[in-house]
Amino acid sequence: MSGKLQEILIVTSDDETFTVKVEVIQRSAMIKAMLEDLGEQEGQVIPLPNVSSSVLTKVLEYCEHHKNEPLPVADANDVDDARRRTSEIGDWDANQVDQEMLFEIILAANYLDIKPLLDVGCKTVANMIKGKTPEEIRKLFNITNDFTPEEEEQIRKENEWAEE
Amino acid sequence: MASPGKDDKATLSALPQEILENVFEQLGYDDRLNLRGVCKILKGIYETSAQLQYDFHLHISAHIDLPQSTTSTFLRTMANHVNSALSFNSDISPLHSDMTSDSNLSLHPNLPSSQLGSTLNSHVQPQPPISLNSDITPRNLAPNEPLIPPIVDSVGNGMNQRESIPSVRMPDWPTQSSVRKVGGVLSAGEKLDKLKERQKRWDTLDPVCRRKIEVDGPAGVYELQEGIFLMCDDYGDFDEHRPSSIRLIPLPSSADPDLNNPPLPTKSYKARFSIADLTMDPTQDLLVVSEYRPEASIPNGPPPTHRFHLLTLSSFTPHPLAQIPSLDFPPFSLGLTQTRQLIQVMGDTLCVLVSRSAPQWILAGLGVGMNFGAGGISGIDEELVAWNWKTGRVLARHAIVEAGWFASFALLSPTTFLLTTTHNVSPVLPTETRSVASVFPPVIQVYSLLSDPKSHINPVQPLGPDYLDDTSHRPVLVAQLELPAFVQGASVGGFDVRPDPPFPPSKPDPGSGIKLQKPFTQDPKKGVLVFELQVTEATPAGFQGDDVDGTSFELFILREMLVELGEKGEERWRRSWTERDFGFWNVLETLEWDVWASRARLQEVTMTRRNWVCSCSGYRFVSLLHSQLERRREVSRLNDQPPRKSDISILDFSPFTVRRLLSEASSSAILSDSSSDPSSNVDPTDKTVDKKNQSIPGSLEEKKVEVKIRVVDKPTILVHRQIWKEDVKSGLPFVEIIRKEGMAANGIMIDDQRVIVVSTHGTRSEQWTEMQMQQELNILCM
Repeated sequence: MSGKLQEILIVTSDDETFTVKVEVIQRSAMIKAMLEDLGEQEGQVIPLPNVSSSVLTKVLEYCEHHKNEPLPVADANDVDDARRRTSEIGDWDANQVDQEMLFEIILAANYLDIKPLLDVGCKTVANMIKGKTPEEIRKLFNITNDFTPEEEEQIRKENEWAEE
Repeated sequence: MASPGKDDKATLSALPQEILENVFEQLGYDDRLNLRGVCKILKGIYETSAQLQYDFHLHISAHIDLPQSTTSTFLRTMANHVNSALSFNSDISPLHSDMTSDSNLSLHPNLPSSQLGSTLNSHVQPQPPISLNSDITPRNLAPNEPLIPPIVDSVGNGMNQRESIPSVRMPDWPTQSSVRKVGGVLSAGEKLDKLKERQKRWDTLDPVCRRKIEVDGPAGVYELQEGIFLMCDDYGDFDEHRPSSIRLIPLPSSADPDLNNPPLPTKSYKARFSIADLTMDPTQDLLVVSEYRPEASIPNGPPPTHRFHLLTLSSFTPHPLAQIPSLDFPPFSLGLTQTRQLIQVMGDTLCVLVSRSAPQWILAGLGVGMNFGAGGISGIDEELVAWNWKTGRVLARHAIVEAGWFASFALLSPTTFLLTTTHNVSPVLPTETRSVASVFPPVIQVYSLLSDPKSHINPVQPLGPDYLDDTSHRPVLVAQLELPAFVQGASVGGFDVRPDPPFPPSKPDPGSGIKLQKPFTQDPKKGVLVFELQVTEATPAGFQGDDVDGTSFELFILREMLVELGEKGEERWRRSWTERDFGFWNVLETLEWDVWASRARLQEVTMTRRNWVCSCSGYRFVSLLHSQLERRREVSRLNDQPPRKSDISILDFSPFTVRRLLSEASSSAILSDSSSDPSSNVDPTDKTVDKKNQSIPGSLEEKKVEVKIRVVDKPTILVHRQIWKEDVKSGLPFVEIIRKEGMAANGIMIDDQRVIVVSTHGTRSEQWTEMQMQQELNILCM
């Protein structure tokens, strides 16, 4: 590994600086591309103005845990396949976080382009939704019902024949 | 890519659209609909996402997406083909033999494992090498010898794909270019548009265009799969009239109505043997040709009943993925002279059922009367053999219980199949005195081809005549569906199912020589299976002469129900391998008629004489109705009945189509009853949706014809007569679509993209020795 960049510095939105191993953070396709563009300089600083330190901590935990897994291949057809295959959530990934943190992690994964983490996050949200009625989903995520009664009736009718 | 804002609190509905689409995609279809109903933002995302809408329409139309070719998959496939070809020709390794080791036969040792028995190998343990009888010479398996050298190749050799052969006449070349063309790689939105458009056309049977193709010759041996029509050139009951030439005819489609870019050019090949039957799977470039009266592969040994040549459709040479280029069906156990066979391919599995019988006059002459055959009853000797056609391994062989009628089968998955037979050997037989029908009560049995991995049986091939050899597996009976109870004296004369499977999706194979470019295909796990049951009423004295009334019924069952029975049965079968307390006797599940009658529809046939058997595709079952009398009348009882003016009827058993039409009808108040039809067996309160004179946007049809659509959701009640012990009630709902075409026709076929109305011209000579016939195929491209 001599001559190869080992670590970089990441500065979060709340001005915390993290020293991160490249082999861990390169699970972020965005940072990996950035490092390739900027060239390898020891002590390289990358600001992440959209990610807080608490969220980055969680993201780095994920990256550390999965660092030995192969990186996703950027093939147009395989991306969809990979997305659909993400049906199971591993034991480590199933660690509970509160709802707001979950959404923050999803947003960070989306921003940093960490596809597997994004899929795990979305799968977690989907698991929370499964088997629930629209009203129960609203309650769970604190969403206001902005449909008129007529619109609701129309949706109910449309769903009626399409449901199993 | 969206980024999180510093001050925005993260909530579900505030997530960016692509993330919410991802959440939707992780949900099942019902949960997606519930999430859509939460708020306007989520509803908007669901309804504007091309991928989500495409998924939804695939789901409700029982289709699945097909991956499209990319550069990387193309290169991988080509590399595999090169690898296969090299290994076939040069890397020769000895096969294991049960006697000697001098059989030097190539078995593709370098073939990528992904291509070797990929479907079945995912279910079973690694298999030992195939044992071949040592008397087999390499001649029988010679890979380089073309089995069927072409006599008439495609005209132009690809320079002009549309040209044809003299016995097949295509429509005139259009003066304008086709309105629709096959595109390259399509987006989800483009696929969605194509799927919705096609479904709309099917709703009203409104074709986008029509094309006519004329083919010389009678309809003897033929096949229709994936838009490729395959027809032999001659046919007769006598040896000298057995066909030996095959014509491959690509049919027009809505995507390519003028055959500018057909998957194969029209071509003809001459075999060096007589052809008994054939089948094909164009998605795998596979043609299986059954040789009539083949020679023995073992010197001085008995000849096989039939030999199945595994060829490519594109070149008629041995299929590169088939390690053994031809497979032998076990020899005749007795000197029987006639065979009837059903052949089916699904994935890696090739399944063949051969019924061997002697004409009654021969039996009488031999003085063996009716006491003949496997069951010793009616001289029918039936056996089913399943192979992995890629490895050549026998998966199972099964002697079928004598039932008094020809058995038939249909593959439900690469590892399960159904069989129309009797449960004469079942422990659930009634103890009462039994008539012919109750001695042989018809039953639908579901079998698994999986074998216990602890059972180290290595079939020696070719198989010998003994059904009960100890070197082959038996399929395992996992479920059976009983029919309504018959009265004493009623007899069953036939119980058939037509094996028409959709093919499992496979990766595109640009190296195969076939250019199938479908964006989506029918889900092989869904659809309807149609059984025909022929019953003769009981008479007081048990007399069954010509005056006794025979009735044919059609039984419709959803394929998914049978697929699920097979899957659950295989779960129990697997449990029995490992759980000592879960005995083998727990594997079989028997469903009495009353349990599943609501999920089936049993009614009298609408078209008693079908010259062409490709009548079912997905959830749709097509028939011809005589134009004047419209319903419940057959088109023709006689073989050579000339074409008559006919309308087209489709019964659509899609649960979604039924519910959607009922929902639309209830909200738009366009229901009327159908009580004016006195011949109907269904409850007169069924709904008729008035969609007369419809022509959908995009259709090229100028002529507007009347279309009647009727939802039948009330049960059919068959009066018991002298057939059943009680009235028979069944309730699978369906939609009936009748398009008043008034076309001259005496036959009809269907696949997922077209309705083919056949008009046969010509007659046989008085001696029935010469046939000058022509088939006019009017293709309605959907």
